[in-house]
Amino acid sequence: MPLEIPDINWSLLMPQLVIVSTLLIVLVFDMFDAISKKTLGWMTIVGAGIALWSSIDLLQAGTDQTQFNEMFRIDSYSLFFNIIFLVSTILVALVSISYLGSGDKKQGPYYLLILLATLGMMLMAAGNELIIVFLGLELMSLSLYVLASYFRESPASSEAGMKYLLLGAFASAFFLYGIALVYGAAGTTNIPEIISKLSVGDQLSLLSESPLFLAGIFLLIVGFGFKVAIVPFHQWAPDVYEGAPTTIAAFISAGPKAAGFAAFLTIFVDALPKLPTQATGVIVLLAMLTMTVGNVIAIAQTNIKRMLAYSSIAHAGYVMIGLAAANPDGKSSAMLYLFIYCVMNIGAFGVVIMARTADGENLMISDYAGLGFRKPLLAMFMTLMLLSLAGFPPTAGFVGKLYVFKSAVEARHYWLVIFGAINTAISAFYYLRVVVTMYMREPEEELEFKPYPPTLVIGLVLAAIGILLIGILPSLLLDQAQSAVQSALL
Amino acid sequence: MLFNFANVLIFLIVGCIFVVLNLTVSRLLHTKLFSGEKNIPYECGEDPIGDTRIKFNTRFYVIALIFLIFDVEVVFLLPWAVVFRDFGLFAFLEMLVFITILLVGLAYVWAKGDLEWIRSTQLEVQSIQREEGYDN
Amino acid sequence: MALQYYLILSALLFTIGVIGVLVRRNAIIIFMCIELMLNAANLAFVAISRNLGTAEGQLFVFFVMAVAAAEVAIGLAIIVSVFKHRETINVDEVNSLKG
Repeated sequence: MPLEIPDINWSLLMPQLVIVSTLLIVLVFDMFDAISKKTLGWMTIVGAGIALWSSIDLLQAGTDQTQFNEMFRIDSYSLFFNIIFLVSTILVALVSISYLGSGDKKQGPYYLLILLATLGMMLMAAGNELIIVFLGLELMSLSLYVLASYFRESPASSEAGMKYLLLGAFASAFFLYGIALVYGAAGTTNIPEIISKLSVGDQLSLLSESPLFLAGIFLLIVGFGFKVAIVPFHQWAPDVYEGAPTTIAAFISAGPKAAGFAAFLTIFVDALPKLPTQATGVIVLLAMLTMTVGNVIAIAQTNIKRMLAYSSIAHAGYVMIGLAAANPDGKSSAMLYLFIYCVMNIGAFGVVIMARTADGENLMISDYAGLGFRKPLLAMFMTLMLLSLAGFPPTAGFVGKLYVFKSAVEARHYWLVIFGAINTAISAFYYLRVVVTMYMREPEEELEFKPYPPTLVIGLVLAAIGILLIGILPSLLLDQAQSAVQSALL
Repeated sequence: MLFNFANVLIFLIVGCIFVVLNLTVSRLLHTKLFSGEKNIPYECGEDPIGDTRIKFNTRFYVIALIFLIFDVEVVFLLPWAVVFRDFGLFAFLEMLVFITILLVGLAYVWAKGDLEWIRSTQLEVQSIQREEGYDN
Repeated sequence: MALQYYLILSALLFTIGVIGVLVRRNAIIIFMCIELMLNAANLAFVAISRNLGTAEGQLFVFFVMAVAAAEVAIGLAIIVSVFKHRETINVDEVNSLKG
């Protein structure tokens, strides 16, 4: 039996290898109690920083290759997503260092799990084979289950972990069965091969109508739907965000959502035009539902973490618009949107952490009354993040929405754009309500805030600069996203 | 094709009849005598001292989980062992990396004191401090 | 060998698992049902791989088994920590997060 060892170009795997090495170093150093656990946080940031730098380096070199017998794809698409994940990881780590307290013995496994989740996300974006996507998904999800229930002394955190675990594992099983059915119908799990088998010349092939294949695709949509929290598979999200530690809520809402969409986009943007039209219909319907339900329920929330949870569900709906457009512009605008969304959402959660008092966190929106003039820095960050989430110019949120809607117009999904515009108006209402509460209302009681931790402020300043920079010069990022999609087409 | 399964079907039917028949016959024949002695799990053994559903130490569970995780890795060792000769040094190094990562994990568990059956007081204190998010 | 018998069996197992998750209220039993779903997928993988004459599918089963073991380890740990707080693992009673 001839056995061949595939050529492995290690330099292409740098980002992943750096993360793995950082992970092992953190693991080893965590064994010694003498080492300050804060150091582990900085190691994580440095490791993610090096991986980020090497990802950008590979991206600029225009890398486009597959590794490990075409199981692993290192092209500008996966590298662009690497940048999203690593930026989120760095921001979350910066915010976490002060959140967990100085001598906290539990910090070691915390950073370890964040790194593991990041590695899982990178696998998902780079997966050229459904099984790699599944492995990445599980590596990410398993780490997140533990992180969600990380505060063992808090009943809410454990409960959040259990809900996330049961629903997440349920969704993974759907996803895996979907893979099995697609494998059965197409005879392969290699994504480009499956897509190429969908058509013969200009005609659709038999595969695109085989019930087994369509059932598999349906199960894949259900599995992805759970992971990125689109309606009607969103119920876990508000509970998990509310119960999990706030830093982890920020992390779950950012990177993993982007990772879910990374795999979703790879499979569906190219496959949708080759599937029966009902499939596009389903995606359009899901996008509309997700936006509307997310925004309408968010209005009724009094807890800011729950409000941000429903808003993040609505944002998944906007990304779905780009997916439904199913053209190269849709793909690149969805990528751009995800990047912007990650930065501004982590920023918003960061401000929630900033508003901590000695008694704990202030999660009610009414607690923010009167902060506008008493805590100008905090209120300024919050206003910026919320304006960006609502999509006002000159913030990045506006740019993101603009390009997503533009791609949908090109694909002639006019209804979807109208829905998106109405939803943006609805969302402005509840985002601005917080801003109005901060500047216009008098506080009911004086709250003693803790001093701002420097790392948190650094993280927020970075996020704010990012949002304004992309808002004013969108081409910085959009060009990268577009060239990433272009290279995938060639 | 389906006909091949006919003997399985016959086997199933005969099996069911056999069980039902025996139970019915013994039900018809046996004498009905009840005593407390008859209801205990071991008629000729130790008397039970309590309910079987008791809480037991979570230490058992931690050890079992660690065993489970390291046990399942064997699934990757078996196919590797089959092709080991064809791949040579490369496969050996690959598996060495894999095992090393696992060993680091084992060392981590050990360092955290989760392998100690009887925990020393110091470890116990450390673990309590860990659980309470103790500030230095 | 006819593939459809295996696929029907695996679909049945998968459905039993799904119904179990939806109907049962004990977290551990829900978890067992999820494992049943994963194993249904494993059965489908092995059958399809045998049918296609490639080893790919059987390889996936190894990975799925390892993933399932890790999931069990993490899942049980989380369920135990919930039990410590609530003295129950009935999913209907563990519902303090609402809004």
